[in-house]
Amino acid sequence: MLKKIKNISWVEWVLIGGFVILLLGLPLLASYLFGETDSWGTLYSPWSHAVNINTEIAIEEFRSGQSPDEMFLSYHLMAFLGILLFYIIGPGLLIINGIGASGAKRENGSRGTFQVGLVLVLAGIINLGLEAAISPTVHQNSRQSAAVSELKDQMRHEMLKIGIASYEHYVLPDSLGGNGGSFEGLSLDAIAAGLDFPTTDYRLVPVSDTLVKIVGVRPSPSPSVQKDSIRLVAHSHPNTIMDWQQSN
Amino acid sequence: MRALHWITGVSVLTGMVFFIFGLFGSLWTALLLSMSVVVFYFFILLVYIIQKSQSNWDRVIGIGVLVLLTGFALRSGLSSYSFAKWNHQLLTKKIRSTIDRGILAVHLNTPLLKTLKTRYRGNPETQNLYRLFMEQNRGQLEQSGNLTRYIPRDQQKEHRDDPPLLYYDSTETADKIVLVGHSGFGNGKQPDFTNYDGSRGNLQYKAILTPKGVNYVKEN
Repeated sequence: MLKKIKNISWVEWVLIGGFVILLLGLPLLASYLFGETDSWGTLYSPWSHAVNINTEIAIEEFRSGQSPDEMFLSYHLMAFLGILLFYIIGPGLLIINGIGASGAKRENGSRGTFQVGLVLVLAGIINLGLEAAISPTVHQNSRQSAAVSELKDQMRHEMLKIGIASYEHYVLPDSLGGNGGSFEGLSLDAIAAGLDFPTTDYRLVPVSDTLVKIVGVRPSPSPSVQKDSIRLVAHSHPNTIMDWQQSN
Repeated sequence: MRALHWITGVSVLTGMVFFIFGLFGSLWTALLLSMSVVVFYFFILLVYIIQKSQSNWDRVIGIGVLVLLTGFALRSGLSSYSFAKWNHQLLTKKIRSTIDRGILAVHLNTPLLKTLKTRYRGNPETQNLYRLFMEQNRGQLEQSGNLTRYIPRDQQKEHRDDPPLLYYDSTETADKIVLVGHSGFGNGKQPDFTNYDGSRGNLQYKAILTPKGVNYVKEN
């Protein structure tokens, strides 16, 4: 095999390099032409297409509660293309023609297919190698971003509970343990009976007798995704139980 | 020619395994099984390299290519599989449950608290909670079989049958309004819990309005 590689002329190396670039550039060209960057960008990766199918199924289950009937044929075809080119045809042509052929006639005949194998193996190693290097990091970043969003959602839900309890206290008369039509003097201790939020610092700030500010602050679980702490603010007033103001 | 026969045979076998299991099962199963065929194929190529190589460099290059491709497949495959499972769980369980809890908290508590506000702060002609609730058009009650659906006032028409579904429980007494709401995604704590409409395992909350306030309870 090394002998065959050494016998490749510089013109042939240029052609091999050109075909590798063309093969790797095809997905980029397709994404430019057709615009669907998510599918084309990872054209040769069988795993990415499986992730894409899983995501589409999850979105449908999220929306309707049922798995879709669709077979996702295009994703299957693209995933199989990756296996076929880079795991079967490429290594097969390179190894069988590179090692097995002997004799001048056979050597000339296998020269072309050996070089096709070389193109596919080089493109495969670059493409799949890049994916193997990058995808775990991308997946890790997605998990960290989701952890931040999840915490924000949890905080919003807990603040909604505080807002509902504040509003109830505002409405109820003094005789029933309420605040008699005012938010003034309302405190978290007074309204949070039964509400236990050990991980977040919530504050209830009465602004006037018809407006109370609810603030939630907690450290970011992933400083690489969100540097500062998470801070959510909402207002509660007689017309609206929760009026979300800002978040970071 | 022999190389082409081999490659064609392995391609057809891998393709059959891949599409049969992929289209009629799961793509992950198809990937696992077709990559098992590839591993077997790599093993044959490895034996071929060891037996036929004319130099050590040929062995190094041939085995190196196989090891690299196998390593890339393992690293990307395992990472993607674990990510896909996590992503599916996140969307269909965690995010869905968070959204459902938020919708239920708003849709069950808001009309009841507004009704309570009218009773104490609005100087109403009647103290009857049911009459206040209905007169202020806090939503619509709609018969659905033996149950009474509650459609919140701000619910868009095209989404009125999307979960979570809300019900007005008319078995309670006059000065007590009970609204029950449940998700439709099997995301409750107990999978065998029977929901208000007979479905099973869904997240369910109940809000009970009395003159003393709103008691908001998680039932599943």
